[in-house]
Amino acid sequence: MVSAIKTEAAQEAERLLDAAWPLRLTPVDPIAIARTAGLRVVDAPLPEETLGALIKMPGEEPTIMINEGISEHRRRFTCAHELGHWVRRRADEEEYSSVDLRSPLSSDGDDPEEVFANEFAASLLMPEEEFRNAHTLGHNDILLGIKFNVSREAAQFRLKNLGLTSP
Amino acid sequence: MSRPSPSEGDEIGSVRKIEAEQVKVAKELLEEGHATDSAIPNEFRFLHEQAQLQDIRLRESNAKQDLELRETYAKWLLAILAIELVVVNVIFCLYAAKGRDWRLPDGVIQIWLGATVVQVVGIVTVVTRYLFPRRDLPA
Repeated sequence: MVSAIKTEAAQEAERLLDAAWPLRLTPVDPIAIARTAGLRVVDAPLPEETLGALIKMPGEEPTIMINEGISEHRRRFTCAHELGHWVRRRADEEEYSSVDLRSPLSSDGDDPEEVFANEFAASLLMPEEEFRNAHTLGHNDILLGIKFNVSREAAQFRLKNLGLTSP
Repeated sequence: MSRPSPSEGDEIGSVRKIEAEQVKVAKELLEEGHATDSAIPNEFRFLHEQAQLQDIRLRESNAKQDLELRETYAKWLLAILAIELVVVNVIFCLYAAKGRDWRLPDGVIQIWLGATVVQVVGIVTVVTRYLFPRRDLPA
């Protein structure tokens, strides 16, 4: 079940990359991708425990809100994560909203929506082909983190999930 | 799927409550205009335009190469045809003037000249059609 969700998330991320990030440059910019896909991305003084939110109000474009107080890596991941929630929504839905809270408060890690959004974010920010190529060139988790502009932990997770080991 | 225990249920309920409160706050911030559009690093601006420009340049380069190939092809074909025609005409004149000494049957020169005409017409037709395809026909 989890594996099927992750596979679907990875496929959706690839599809969005092909459509909105055709040059496949790294690091990937999730904000530019979101805007190309028709979403608004804003920084907002959200409460400390909230990383980001996806808000769609009737008659308006879907908006990704990012807590303006979080780090660059977290900001990028949050944007990609919210994009993951957005791709799961039907295009004709007029109103929806969700928030992502910091770890101790966040929903269960087995929540299919969260599993999907996390896998989607990882696949978007660290596209499999480019990530594997960089790994083949001998990049370790630190260099991979720099190349893809993600945290070292995120690069380590990606390595593990793709069945690779840090050289 | 297993049903959450009462304590787990309380925990999930409290998380949902916090999430609902945070959604309310987020909506208020958005409605009151406290959100500012996130900046995109300079290197990521105009990526679509860059991709389009790259595509146009690639098409232009392909078209240029195609044109050069056609030009070279046409020049060589026309040069070969010209040389062939000169040779054939020279031989024809020589044959006409001194044909008796060659003792070739008449059929040989007739076939040769006839074949040359067919070849010239055929090649010119093929080359012309390729270089200037009819626009009213599908490619």
